[in-house]
Amino acid sequence: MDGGLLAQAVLNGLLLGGIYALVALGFSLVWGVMNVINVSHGAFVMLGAFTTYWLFVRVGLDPFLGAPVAMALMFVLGYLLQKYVINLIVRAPMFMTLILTFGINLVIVNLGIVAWTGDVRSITTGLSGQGVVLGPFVVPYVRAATLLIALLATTALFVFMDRTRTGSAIRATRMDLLAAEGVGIRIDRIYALTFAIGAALAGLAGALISVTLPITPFMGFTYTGKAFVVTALGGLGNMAGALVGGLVLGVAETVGAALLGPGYQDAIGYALLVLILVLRPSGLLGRVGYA
Amino acid sequence: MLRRQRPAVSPPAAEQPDAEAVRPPAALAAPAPSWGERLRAGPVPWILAAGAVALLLTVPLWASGYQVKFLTELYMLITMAAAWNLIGGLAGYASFGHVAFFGLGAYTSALTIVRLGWPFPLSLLAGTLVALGFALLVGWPILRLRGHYFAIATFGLAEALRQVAMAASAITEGGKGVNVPAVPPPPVLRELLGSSVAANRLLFYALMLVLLGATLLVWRWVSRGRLGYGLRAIRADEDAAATLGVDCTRYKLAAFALSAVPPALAGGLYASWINYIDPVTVFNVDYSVSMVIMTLLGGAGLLWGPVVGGVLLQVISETLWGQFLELHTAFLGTVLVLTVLFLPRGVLALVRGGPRRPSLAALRQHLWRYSV
Repeated sequence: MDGGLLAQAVLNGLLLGGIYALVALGFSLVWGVMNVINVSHGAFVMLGAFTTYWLFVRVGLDPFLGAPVAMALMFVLGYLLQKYVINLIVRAPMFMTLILTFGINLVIVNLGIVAWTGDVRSITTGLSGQGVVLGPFVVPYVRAATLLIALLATTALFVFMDRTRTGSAIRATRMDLLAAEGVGIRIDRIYALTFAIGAALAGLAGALISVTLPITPFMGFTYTGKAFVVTALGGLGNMAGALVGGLVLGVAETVGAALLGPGYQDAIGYALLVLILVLRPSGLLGRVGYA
Repeated sequence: MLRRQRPAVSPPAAEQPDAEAVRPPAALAAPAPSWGERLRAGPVPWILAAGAVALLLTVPLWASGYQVKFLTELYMLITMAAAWNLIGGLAGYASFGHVAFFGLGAYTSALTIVRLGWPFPLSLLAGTLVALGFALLVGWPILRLRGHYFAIATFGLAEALRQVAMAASAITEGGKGVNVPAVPPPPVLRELLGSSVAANRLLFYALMLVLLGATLLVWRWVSRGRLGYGLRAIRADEDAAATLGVDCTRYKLAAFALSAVPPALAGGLYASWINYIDPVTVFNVDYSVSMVIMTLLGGAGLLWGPVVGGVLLQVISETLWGQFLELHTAFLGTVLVLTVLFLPRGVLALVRGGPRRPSLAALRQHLWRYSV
């Protein structure tokens, strides 16, 4: 393998990593704040992707303009789901919420298959297949935009959490539930809001995936798996960690696939996960969130 | 330190000193064992169990082929759920990738038969050893993690194995799958039943049933021993258990490795029963899910939990299957959601400790216990 191909693989990995980072951002937020592993996160990604897809096919709305719609829909869905279903057992042992969201995932994916069949679909816009040539490398426009949006979303979430009153309330809730309740924070609303933000970010990730990769109703679980790997890599509830973890995973996968063959791409991610969990359980940027 | 404890039944009547002569005042006396307790302590349950197994063994002689297939598959699923109940039920460590052991058992068994020409029993043994080795190899790093990391790490491993089985086509034939030749049934059976198809049906039915019985016995043995109490302590509070001297990682590893054996055997049996395996079927995440659902539905950490849950789930699923083929997974998901929300301790918890009068207040308290 020559250096040029390897460098292109690294570049592709970074662009793919942007999507992984975005998928993991909401997942990590929910896990960090609520101590809930949302296994149905990938299903939200799928719903976001299909929202964008149908808006493009039926209405002709550009996917990048469809993304905010997908985010809004997922926000509402996430809010309701947390308020009326998950909230019932949100403080039960994590095992229970894990299984609950697993069940929710099965339902959403199955309904998706019934509604849209298992066909593989993709969006082809005017910009698809075009890219800017930088010396020996090719950077497709849509992928570059995806990475840029992932960076923007991470920054926006960081600013929201760090600078706004609501963000502070979320952080307080994460640190100490009872103390937060004691100073008058409405925990139920904070939880619903956190879950809704997580779902909205999943919707955004789905919208971006629909422009760059093929989509199917059962695409979600793969992304839940990626989100988990990235969260383990970056550290729980750590926004910068999600970004770094996403990029690392993307590069590891594309470089690994270039070296071993494309069939092993996902296996590499999981091998990386086990390795990280063994060597650095607190993640690459290492700060322990919840045990 | 945890000591081996006896089950909470009174010693049999024969061991007690002359009860009538030295009876202490009624208030001080330990309550005399009830008839139910005496029956349970004696050989009666074992006789009943043996009778039930003997009765079940005759099923293929009079039932239809479809019914026998349904039951064989039911035993297979319950076996795996009962195995999952060791690590998921006793230790509270939910493995979402237990299908990995089923797939490893199926592939090892099938490939040793097809490529190396090994006899069927030896191939089963090989599958078990490979799964056991894999459990120990991956269990050591991932069992040092707490529950939720463990849950997804196991899921990831199973998915990775499926992909490797798909990609390493030089060994596994990849997505084409492996055709496994039929096992020659014992001549006695063939003569008794007239055809080798019927003989094979009975053979695999009986093998699955025996595997299920053996798994339940092993579970019971583990649950009543030092390992079982250690695992329950880990489930209750891992830090406290460690303080009490439970070597948590070693206990969890023992439970994980033990729980890998029945699925591996089931996988080996499956390969030669169905005569065809491919990565999508034998590494299907549905198997992992059904292990979790069956155990939870019946009651996690209880001997009969997976059995009750498995029978309930499969019977409901089979009756609905014909009508709503497309919505089957959604149905499983709904059962899972409702179980977790309303019956977190399983169906058996409803009947343990006698019947209770349902009250709205109790229901409300139960429902809002874990909300914010």
